[in-house]
Amino acid sequence: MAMSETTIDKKKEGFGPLAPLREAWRSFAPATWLGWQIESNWTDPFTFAVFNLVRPLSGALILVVMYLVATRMNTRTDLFAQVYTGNAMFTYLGGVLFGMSWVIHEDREHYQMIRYVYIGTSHLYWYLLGRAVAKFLVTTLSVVVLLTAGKLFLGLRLYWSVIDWPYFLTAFSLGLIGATGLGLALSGWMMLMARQAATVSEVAAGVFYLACGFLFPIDVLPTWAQAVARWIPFTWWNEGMRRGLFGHGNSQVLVSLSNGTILNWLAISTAVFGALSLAAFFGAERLAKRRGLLDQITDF
Amino acid sequence: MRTETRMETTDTVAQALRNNLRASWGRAYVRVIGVNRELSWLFLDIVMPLFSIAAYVLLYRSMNAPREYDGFVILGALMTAYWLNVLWAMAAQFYWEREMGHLELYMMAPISPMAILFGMSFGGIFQTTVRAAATVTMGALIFGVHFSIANPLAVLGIFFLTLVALYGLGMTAASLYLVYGRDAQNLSNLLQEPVFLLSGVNFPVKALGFWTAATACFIPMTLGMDALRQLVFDDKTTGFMPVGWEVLGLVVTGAVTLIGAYKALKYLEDLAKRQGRLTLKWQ
Repeated sequence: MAMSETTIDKKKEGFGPLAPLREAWRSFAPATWLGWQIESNWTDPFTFAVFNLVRPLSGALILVVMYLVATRMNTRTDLFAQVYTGNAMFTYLGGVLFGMSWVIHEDREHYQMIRYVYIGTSHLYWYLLGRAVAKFLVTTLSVVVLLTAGKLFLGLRLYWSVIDWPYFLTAFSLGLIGATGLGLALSGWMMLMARQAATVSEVAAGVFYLACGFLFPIDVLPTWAQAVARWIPFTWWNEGMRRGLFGHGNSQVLVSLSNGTILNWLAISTAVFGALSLAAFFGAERLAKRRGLLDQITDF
Repeated sequence: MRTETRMETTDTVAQALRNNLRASWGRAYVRVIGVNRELSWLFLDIVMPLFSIAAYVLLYRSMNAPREYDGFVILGALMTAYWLNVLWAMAAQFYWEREMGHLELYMMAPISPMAILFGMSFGGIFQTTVRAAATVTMGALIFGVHFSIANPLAVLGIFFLTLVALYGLGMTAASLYLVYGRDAQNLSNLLQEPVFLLSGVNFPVKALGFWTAATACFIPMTLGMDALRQLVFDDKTTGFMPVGWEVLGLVVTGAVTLIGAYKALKYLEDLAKRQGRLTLKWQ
């Protein structure tokens, strides 16, 4: 009886090389849908849109005012374009890092359903990746509005004809892979800690905001910090996206490198970073399982 | 007979006062004693704001801004720490208390919920002061910021008035969490960057233009920051309005927010009970 039921199940699922992908999809797709619901269903679409636009717009406006009081110039300069777009693109990194790690806390302590996700047929990381997609979609909405508002109201020097789309999209995708990998690593960390682990995500985002040249060229940093920045994929991501969007970067110390070299460094550092992040995630997961922390309720 | 009744009443009032003070201290104690319980958290809480301080200071430097602006960033980081504490450890705290099952205990105890909020405020101020003082000191040393304080007492007074108004606002916002859940958390989220923008945490608020700055004065942090900026750097040219007017504004907003907190707490507690949401988890 049991044998024939298994055979029926296997017939339903199918065999072959695509079977694991189908299995992963069964976790990934509902997780994306669930993530979107959690992000958006607490209110009506209008309030949701306002909520998701007011915060990033305010953050960008802080930089706009800082720029205006410091330089006393108008916003139609390259310097302003670099600051404004760097900040806009950083929202992806901040959103993915914090969003992915917070899922663990939220599902473990608030909704208390992570144990059910964990005992499902696919691995937890497919679920986390699905939840990251929802965060990515919300962030994309914010970034598009930020850039459009910058172009329409602030004279942002970003021109459609200058954008090298294949280069930009390649750099953007590689960076996203790195960000997602790091998000997984932070999720692993979250499994071992209470709510305060969220601070670690914020610290990580703060370090990259500072060190990778999102706001200002890495040239401003001390020499040792510039050397550290070259090991972080997000420095190359940032430089690559700028070259894709504007045709040039904003760092004098990276200016001698060709576009291809930037992409190569981005790919290499992302691969190394991604591998380390995955190892950290699986290590933390094993440890959390051994210590019985997977579904801990810290009440904090 | 009348004397006895009066004595009983006095006893009851004294007892109620004692109970409320003990409850306040009990709630504050957790935060006071918790300051150095988990050293990794203390470290993160001190170091984390340093990254944003460094980012904004280096941004100003990359734009060749006057060095005085580095100090604005440091001062902004100080007040940001209190505002974040107000949002997440005052306003949103009732949300966590409900999730943990403490909220019903507070409501059943023979005390006013205001006593709990006062305790949370005191503990929160203590906790944040320890962390923010370390951050600001380190930030000032790293970036060589020079403060020229001509009147330290005035600075302390304005700082105290700002905190009263801010935590009063936090107490008012806390009452929202008696009724609402996730949506109120989103409200706390929403009150971060927009408030940082309107209160001019990293730049003189008058840069926003007269009407925007005037409207922003309804946020106590705007008045406090503007007054402190004028006094701490002994520079009246960056101020939006004279310090005296800002002190008056802080006194008024402090009183309004504390009275508002009391009224809002009463109203929303009653509403939450009627709607059966006072202890409703996972909203």
